[in-house]
Amino acid sequence: MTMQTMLTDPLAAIVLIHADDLLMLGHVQSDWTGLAPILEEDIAASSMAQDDLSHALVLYQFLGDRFDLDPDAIAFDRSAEDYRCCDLVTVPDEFDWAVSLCKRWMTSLFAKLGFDRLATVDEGDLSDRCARLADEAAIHVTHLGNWMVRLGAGSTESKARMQAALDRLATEAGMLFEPPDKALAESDGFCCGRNEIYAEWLAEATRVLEAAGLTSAFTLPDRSLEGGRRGAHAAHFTSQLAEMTEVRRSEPATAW
Amino acid sequence: MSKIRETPLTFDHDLPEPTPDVKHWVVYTSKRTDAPHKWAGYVDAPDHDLALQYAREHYGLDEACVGIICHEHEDATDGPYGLEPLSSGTAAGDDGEPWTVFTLRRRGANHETAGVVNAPDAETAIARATARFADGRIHNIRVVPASRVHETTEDELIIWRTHDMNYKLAKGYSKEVRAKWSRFRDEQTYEQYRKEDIAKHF
Repeated sequence: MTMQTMLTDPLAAIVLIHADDLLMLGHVQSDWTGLAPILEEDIAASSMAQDDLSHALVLYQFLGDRFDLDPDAIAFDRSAEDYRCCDLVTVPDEFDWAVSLCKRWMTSLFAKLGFDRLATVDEGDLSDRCARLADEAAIHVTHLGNWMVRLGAGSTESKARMQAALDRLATEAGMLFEPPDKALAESDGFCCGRNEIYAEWLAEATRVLEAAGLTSAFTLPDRSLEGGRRGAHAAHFTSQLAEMTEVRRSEPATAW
Repeated sequence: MSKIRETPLTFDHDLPEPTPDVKHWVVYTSKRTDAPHKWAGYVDAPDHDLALQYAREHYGLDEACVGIICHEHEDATDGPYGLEPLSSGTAAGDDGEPWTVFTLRRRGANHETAGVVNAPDAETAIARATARFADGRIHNIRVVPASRVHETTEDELIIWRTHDMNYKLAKGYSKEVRAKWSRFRDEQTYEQYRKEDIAKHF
């Protein structure tokens, strides 16, 4: 089978939104190694970035088995418009910890809910893989949520910076729920219920934000609005993708 | 560092002072549900929730474990360390608050959980713990108020990762590198390289 077969498969589209989110999030977050606010968090955040890459690999391996493709080829060899990640994950944070934290928290919460649903899909070993990923994503959600609360309820400066980050990312956060292709966009059953997953995500996000003393302006965009999940990526995504795949593209057939 | 994000870090003002409320925590891990928690190391964290989370990232990845406990370093009271094992004491009584007891079963080994004694203060707790746990092999006893010992909850039991994270460890790296070298040596190209190398130098 070809890459194109995978790209037109509805289930693969759902799997890819999580795999691509985590691949890019892990790649971008790895920049923070050595720069997090305290040493322990530096180690933990780096470890979680590795987790994100590992979780992406678990999903690429599933797709590789299903479509007889090399997982590395799925991860690195697609055209930019074939990546299903939302642009939230590659929003530049200019080394502002609040921005980094907020986008990782939002994305991890979405991933956790998505894995919960994929864990119920009877398709090969996808349910086993995603049940495990859901548990590990829950660790990230707890960890990041703890920091949301601590910084939101912390000093005046930390609260202001967290609120500024939330305000900046609120619109992008809604695009987490963008349907990954046109057919799915017109389906009420997208992602086991787009409205339901958003409502669940919003309820948990609101619970944490209230504990943190922060506010949000999240909205669910109209499903016709096209963004990264349907290939209409922002420039910061294509820049990050070009950088991430630079070595791979320099020697495509090399075994590392 | 990413070339795209290679921006100079500038500050409008002096860097803030180090966060004053980060505390020093002692971490113990348990490998099996019925096994004691053994000393694993330390983490710095503002509170016990984050201490346990950091402990999970730092120590839960090295080896699979089923539970982690931690306490603030300053909450621990250590009894005397002896060249010889401690003699069993005679202190009796069961009044006071519960104290978690850690014992050192061998000089140079790590403390591990042994049980709980009730006592009104640390000194009495050590005396009562000595009477109860010093069996001729214990070299030191540490007590911590049980209310100050924090533990991972049941739903946090997934501490280690299922996917192979050996690459994060030195042992995993050497294993990978050895495997690559073995593959390389098995290839004809290596043999050719070796012959040419010998011919060139000798």
